[in-house]
Amino acid sequence: MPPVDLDIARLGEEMEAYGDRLRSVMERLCAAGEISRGVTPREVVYREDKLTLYRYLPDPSAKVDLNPVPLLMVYALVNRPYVTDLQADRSMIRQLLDAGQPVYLIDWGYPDSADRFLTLDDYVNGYIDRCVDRLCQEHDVEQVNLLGICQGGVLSLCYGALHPERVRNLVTMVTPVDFKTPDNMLSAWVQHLDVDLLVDTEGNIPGELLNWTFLSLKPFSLGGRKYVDTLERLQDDEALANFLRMEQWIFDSPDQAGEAFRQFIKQFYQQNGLIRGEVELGGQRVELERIRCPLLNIYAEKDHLVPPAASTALRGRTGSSDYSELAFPVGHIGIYVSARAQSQVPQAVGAWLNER
Amino acid sequence: MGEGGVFGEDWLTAQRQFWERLSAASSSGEADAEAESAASAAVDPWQAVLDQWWRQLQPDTPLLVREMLERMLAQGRQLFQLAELFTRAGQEESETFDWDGAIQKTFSDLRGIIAGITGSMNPVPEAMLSEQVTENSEAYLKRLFDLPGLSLGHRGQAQQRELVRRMLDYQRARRAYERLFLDLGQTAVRRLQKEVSEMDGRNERIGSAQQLYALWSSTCESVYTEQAMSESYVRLYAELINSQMAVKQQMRIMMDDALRLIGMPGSRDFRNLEQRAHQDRQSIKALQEALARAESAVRGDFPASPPRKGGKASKRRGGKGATG
Repeated sequence: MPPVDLDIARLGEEMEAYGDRLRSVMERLCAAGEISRGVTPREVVYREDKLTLYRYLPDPSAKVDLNPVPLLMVYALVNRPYVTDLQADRSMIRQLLDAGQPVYLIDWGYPDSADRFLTLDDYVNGYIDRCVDRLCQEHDVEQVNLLGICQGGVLSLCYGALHPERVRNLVTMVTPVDFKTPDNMLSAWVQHLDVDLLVDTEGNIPGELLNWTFLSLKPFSLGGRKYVDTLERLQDDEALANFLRMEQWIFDSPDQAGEAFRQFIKQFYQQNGLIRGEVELGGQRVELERIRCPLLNIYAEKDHLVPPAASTALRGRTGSSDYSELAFPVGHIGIYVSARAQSQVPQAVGAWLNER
Repeated sequence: MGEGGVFGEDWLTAQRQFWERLSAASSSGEADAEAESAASAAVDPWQAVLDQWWRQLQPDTPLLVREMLERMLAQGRQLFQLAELFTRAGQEESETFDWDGAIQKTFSDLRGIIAGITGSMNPVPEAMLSEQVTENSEAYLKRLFDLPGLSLGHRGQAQQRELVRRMLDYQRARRAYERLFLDLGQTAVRRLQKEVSEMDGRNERIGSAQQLYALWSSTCESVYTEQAMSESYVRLYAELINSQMAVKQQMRIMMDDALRLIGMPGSRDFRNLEQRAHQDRQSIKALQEALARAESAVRGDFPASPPRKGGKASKRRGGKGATG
């Protein structure tokens, strides 16, 4: 018998069953109303240009002792930060609140042509610094805890190196430090890109371009097989709403401020400047050794966007004498939305912060 | 819409008929033209009903749902096209089986993604970049390249020629990039054949369309991943984006020239304004910070001197850069 043993009668049945599932999903998808996102109550504490700084409100019935040091979450400039508070059972923010952290989140908004000349200096020494100011003022403290996710982790490392006196503890999550590890496909692709020409021509970089680029890292899984494999799992309304919510997030990509994008690709990806101590922001060199606060580096073992080696390169590069790592057997997104990570990562972060 | 929901009983009947015809075509053992034709005529009632239903539904569906459904439909089609291809292959001599067709169908999604990457910034319609069109237009553009520009000054002629040169570069880069995917498809087929023969050795079987699709897509992905990390791919990718940007840049230069001729602002003017607005915004922020420091100093919070760049150890309870 040949290994591919497709029986016509069985195929017919399979097709019928698949059609039924597809029909059911389609009908319910069409009937699905607005997909809600963001579940934890929050309030605006600061606005500047497109940026909004949110304070997340703990559950008053939870009676958790809050850490006196506020936790500022810095998300990447690509994609939207609401993935950290997607739904009740997938909310890193809620879990962090439950773990006793006063959580604040920077929402970068959607840059437009008015933001085309924003630089990484503006983001790090401007926006983040003013958010830190605001939190210190609100909590009457001298320092904050920083949690940077992906590119937000890179910005947080830069901030920690340039303003070490303002950071009590630093947590980086799926954050690239060595941008030229041999398994980094994204990095390989941009090495010969004429980023000056790209930015000079496009101005801001379309979010759609970045999105397609991310999808094309694993086109058969992310653009194809996912839609076949998930069909079976989408047979109840809740699973369907969850899937739609994730889809909405995946394709919700803000444009990138042109100058900041130019700097990020050239200094970080092409020159690998962070690990070499050659990145310059606002005329100052970013030296990782200047980071002396306790550091928790969390990475995903199956991350195809930021390979583990790109993150673990941080080990031994800072001046911190309290450096820890936490690895999870999930992918880049799974680290903050998978059920497994949800039940462990925020609690681990909370416990680590509370001990310091 | 029939009583059985979106698809109804008619669809189920048509689908059964399709498989019966395909089965008849297959069981005849050789190229039975009549049965083959009967099966082809009925090909994809599944797709036909889906497409018809989809056309009716499309205008009223929210964009997010519409896009997601389109992806699901596309993958559903591919799943069964693949199964159908392999079913036919099982009945045919391997030399006559249309592997090229199989490759094209499987890699069409990948091409869609590539079109997504380049299309999001494309200066010319995608249709103009197909192999046939570019081959035809290359000769035309080369001839145009040699012609003196009528009614154009020296600068105008030079600009036109530069645009043509960049267009040709872009077309070449695009073709080279697409060719790479054809090679990829062929490598994927060879890899799949190897995987299947290894399964045979392990006494494993693929008995469903979904299992076959899973094996096929993971094979394609692994081949793609290997190739996409290679130096040649990285070069082609960069050439594709760089040449596309070069065309776009030249088009903008020419558009700016034309706008200037009629006294209209061009992209450079807008860019200057954006830069000016950015500088003004920075100045306002610096002033707001200085004001906040001065206010704090009056309150006695901390000295009014500006903090050193990048180091704000002495700064507290200030920095009202914006609304709070």
